[in-house]
Amino acid sequence: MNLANGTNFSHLQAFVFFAAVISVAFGFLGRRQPKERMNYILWSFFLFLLVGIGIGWLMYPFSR
Amino acid sequence: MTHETTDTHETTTLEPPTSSPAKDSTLQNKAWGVAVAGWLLPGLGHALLRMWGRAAAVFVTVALLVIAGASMRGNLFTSNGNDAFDTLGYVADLGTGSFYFLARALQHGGADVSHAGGDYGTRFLATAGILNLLAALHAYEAARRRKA
Repeated sequence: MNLANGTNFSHLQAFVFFAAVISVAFGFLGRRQPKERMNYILWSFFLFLLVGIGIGWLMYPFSR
Repeated sequence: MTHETTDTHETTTLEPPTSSPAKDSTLQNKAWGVAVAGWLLPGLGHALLRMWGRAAAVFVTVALLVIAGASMRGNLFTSNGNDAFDTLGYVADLGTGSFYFLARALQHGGADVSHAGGDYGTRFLATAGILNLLAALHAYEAARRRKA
């Protein structure tokens, strides 16, 4: 990571990074037991990806 | 009756709610202290409550978002905003507490939102702040012995 010149994430990398970090935070804050947390993190991450990619495809016809 | 909250490796036994005004006031003050500590240093509020797993998770996730956002040259808002959106962005960025200054220190070249990465960085920084405020609120509720 080159902080001076700026990090270049692709759209997909930024999207996946955001989804993963927020899912972990929600999992730890929202659930108490480790197993419940893991399930919540995975489910939340999956939904982030599903909704994000879904919205992307919905916008595709209007993108040009 | 006791309520038990379990964190990753920690079990804390909570006292039943009391109706004494003096105890309520003490609890309330403690809860505010925990919330402010959690805002100033992400995860500290939960650490004071011995919720180690949550403290570590909040610290790491907020730090990751701030470092990523700053290194992507996202816009870190200041108090000299031109409109309401700038002010809202400033409030969101301030939500990271002391990490606001970390982001400032990391951004040698200043913000650059002329490319998509910089725009994403702006969102990452704002999200870090909002996430930390949410965590501080969570710690506040836990300190008040509400279900959290």
